[in-house]
Amino acid sequence: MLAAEALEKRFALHDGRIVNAMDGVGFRIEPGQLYTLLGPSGCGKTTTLRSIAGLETPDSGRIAIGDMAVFDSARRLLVPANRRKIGMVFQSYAIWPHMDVYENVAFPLRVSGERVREGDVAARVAKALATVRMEGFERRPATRLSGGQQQRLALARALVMEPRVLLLDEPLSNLDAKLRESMRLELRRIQKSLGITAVYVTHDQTEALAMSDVVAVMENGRIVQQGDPRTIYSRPATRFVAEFIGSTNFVPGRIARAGADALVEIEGGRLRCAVPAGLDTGARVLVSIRPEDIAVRAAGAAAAAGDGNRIAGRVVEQIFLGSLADHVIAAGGAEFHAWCHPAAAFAPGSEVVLEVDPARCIVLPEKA
Amino acid sequence: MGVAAAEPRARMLLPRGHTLPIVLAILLALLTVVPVATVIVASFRPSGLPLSDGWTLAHFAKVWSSAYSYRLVWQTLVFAAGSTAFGIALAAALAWLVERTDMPGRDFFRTGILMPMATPPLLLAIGWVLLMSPAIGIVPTLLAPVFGEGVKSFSIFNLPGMIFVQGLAYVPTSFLMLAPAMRNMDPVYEEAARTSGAAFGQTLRRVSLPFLVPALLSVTTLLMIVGMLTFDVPAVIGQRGNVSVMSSEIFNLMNPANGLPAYGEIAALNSTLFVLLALGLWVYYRATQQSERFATISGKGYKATRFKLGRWRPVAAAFVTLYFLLAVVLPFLALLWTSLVPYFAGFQTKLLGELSFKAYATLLGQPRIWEGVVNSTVIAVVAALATTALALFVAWTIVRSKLRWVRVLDVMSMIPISVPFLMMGVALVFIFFGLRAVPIYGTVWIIALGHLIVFLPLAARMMQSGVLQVHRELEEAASVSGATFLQNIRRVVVPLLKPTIFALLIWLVVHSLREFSVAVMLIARQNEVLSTILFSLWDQGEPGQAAAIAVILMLVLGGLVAAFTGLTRARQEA
Repeated sequence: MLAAEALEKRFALHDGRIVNAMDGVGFRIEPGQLYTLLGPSGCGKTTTLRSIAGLETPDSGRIAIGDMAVFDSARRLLVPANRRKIGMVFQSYAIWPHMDVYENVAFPLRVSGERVREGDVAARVAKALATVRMEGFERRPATRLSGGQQQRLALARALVMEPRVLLLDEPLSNLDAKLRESMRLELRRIQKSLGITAVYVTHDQTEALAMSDVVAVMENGRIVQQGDPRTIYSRPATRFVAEFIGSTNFVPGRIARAGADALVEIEGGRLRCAVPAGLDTGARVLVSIRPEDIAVRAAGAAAAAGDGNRIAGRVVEQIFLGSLADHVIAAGGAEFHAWCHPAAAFAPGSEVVLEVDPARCIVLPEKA
Repeated sequence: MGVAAAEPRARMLLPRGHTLPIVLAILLALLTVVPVATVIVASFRPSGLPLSDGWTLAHFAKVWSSAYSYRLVWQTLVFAAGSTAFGIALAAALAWLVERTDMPGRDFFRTGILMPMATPPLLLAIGWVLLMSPAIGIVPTLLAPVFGEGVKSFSIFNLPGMIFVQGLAYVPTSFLMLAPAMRNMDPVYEEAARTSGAAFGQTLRRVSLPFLVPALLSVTTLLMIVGMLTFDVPAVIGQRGNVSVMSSEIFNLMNPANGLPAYGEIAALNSTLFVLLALGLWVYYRATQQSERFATISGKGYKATRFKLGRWRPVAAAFVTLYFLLAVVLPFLALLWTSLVPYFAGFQTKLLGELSFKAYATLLGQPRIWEGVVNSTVIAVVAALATTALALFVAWTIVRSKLRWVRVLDVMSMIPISVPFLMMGVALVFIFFGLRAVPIYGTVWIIALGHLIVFLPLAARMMQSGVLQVHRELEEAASVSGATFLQNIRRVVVPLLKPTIFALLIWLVVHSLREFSVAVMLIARQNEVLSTILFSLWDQGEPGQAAAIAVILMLVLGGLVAAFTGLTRARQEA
């Protein structure tokens, strides 16, 4: 439905340094998917989205929306934003303050090349407002809407032309936490029920995991990993991805035995891990272990069934976080964060054993 | 569904986004660069006319071998620096009292501070001549019975007098530039200084003042430039006391008692002045760039803590009231009195019984006045509309275009700020006197064009700050919704900028109606405007009729300024 190939864009900063906003970005999005570009600020996710919209022109590459090529540097082809037939929701919502709700939604119909009859305008505006549950707000001045209402209005305006692609630029970042959660569900519901292809830009990993069909993690103008949310979370491909999404512990080590059932030598012991192909015996690595994948047991307690990794350690600190207790534990030459149910918390100074399933130990190259 | 699929109505890559900036660049070059170049070229021509043959340095040699020229430059600098210092000191005190203290009536004063815009320097100067003329001025005749005949010899027809009047005329502009800097200063910086142990005075000196430096620097440079090229006060006050500055010298050379004007010398004088002013412009440009950077730090919405004046509150209010008396009320009353008395002889009780509207009747009976009214109105309306439209496109392009070279547009639109209004008049004479293909010499259109050029820098700046306030995504949303460039401008940009556009239109109409220095160079028989008629009546010894025009003009301008104030307030509150 939407395809991008080899997008490049360089900016010169004021001090003359060159920044690669996009450094060979490429992806294909299937019809009906919600595809998320996730990354920290400055990673190029917004530039990528704005290039799809036609608000930014890449230096080179190709972009096609459906069967329409909208940008192709090799053929010097550029379709301007107003002819790309897309819907877009902006970070600031960009609700025009000099129009009421109705006129804001009707705007795309009014400026479209084909003349839309006033009766059709009314019908389509009503349909779009119904989709976002804003019926009855037609004559409300745009300046008298709450943040959540502005958000819905922006969405209705983006949907009124029934675009083939919906672009969303951090649409929830200006809402407060509670509203953000409910809008997240609502956005996802609308997108699924309309079956519209959507590209979503965010720096919020929770949002990305909760909403997306596919997540693409971006770093320094490149997509470093792409996949469904579960894969991205449980099998990060690089140290950056593991660190950016969720929390994790890194244990430095060296591969003692490569293969499907690998052994990594760490300070004071060995870890059994699943190792991605391409790392040989002797390679320096980092083992990533999520804090929720660590089971903390009292020293001397009987081992759980199976042949999991067991590392002896000592609780340095325990932080009560309400729904869980975060333990800082010195073990294997590193400091581990481990999350336990608060009822099963250990006092600082306790001697403990950490148990980790080998399938949860992700081996990453030390330098990525 | 591959990338290499059909491409309905595609466009070429390169030309997009270049057309408008290129068109504007050509337009601005014609409007600003060409006139300046014309004067510079003229100064090297033996005949002093830009389109004649040959090259010479004789004009410069003549101008700069005379000691008189150096005295001229010195007097110009003293006049500009003195009035700038006086005007800024006054405006800074007023701005501080209004924005940062609990002075009574501060909201009223903040609204009223724009009223002096209705008292252009020309009228202010005439008003002060009527007030202070030795022997027959209103003030000496009022005070003589009390203080004796000695007060009648006090004169303002000298540099201090010029500086005083010009300084008063500077206050509204300086106030407008300094007040926001004082108002927008985030009190958190001052609070941080206070909690770090700094005393009030130390806080003011080490924290508050540095924040004001960019604004002070930029207003100082702007006023210095204006002071070196203004003609109103030198014409009305300086000429009476034979105190010449460069602008009045240029005027005198353009209007010799007999024979042709010494074009070469005028151009040489102008070119020299231009070098000084270009330097000033450069400083101004740097200073404003910096002040904008500071502005982004401070932001808005802060409620600055106000300094408690205590028992000084009445003194502060009296000080501000005195300013309004000197800058508006007294000159207006002097003009009103003069327009009503049968002959001018200062203030005398016996004249009270003889007040009449005769001067108005005589005035309005002359077709020349009505032509002037029509001309002034046409020029004001046309110049205001054209300048606003051009400023809108220039400002929009400067703010929105991603092309790096659009900064050139910014610089070009600022050039006229360093060109004396008189010199712009001279340049247009040079260009259109010879250019028969465009027969606008001697018509109202050449004056309208002059106003368009000289008001462009301020209009472009005002419009830029307007466009900057419009979030870029509001326009992008329109593009993505399918709006073309023109639909975007018409349906989104213009409606959103409506308050700025209206405020700018009124500002331009006010300044075009009161403008004198450009028009005085460009008038011929057919295109006299009110301000030039006023000046010629004044010059020919008809103070009653001149004052009558001045009173009418001040009332009209006052109404427009009130509308402007209302609009700018609405914009700030929106």
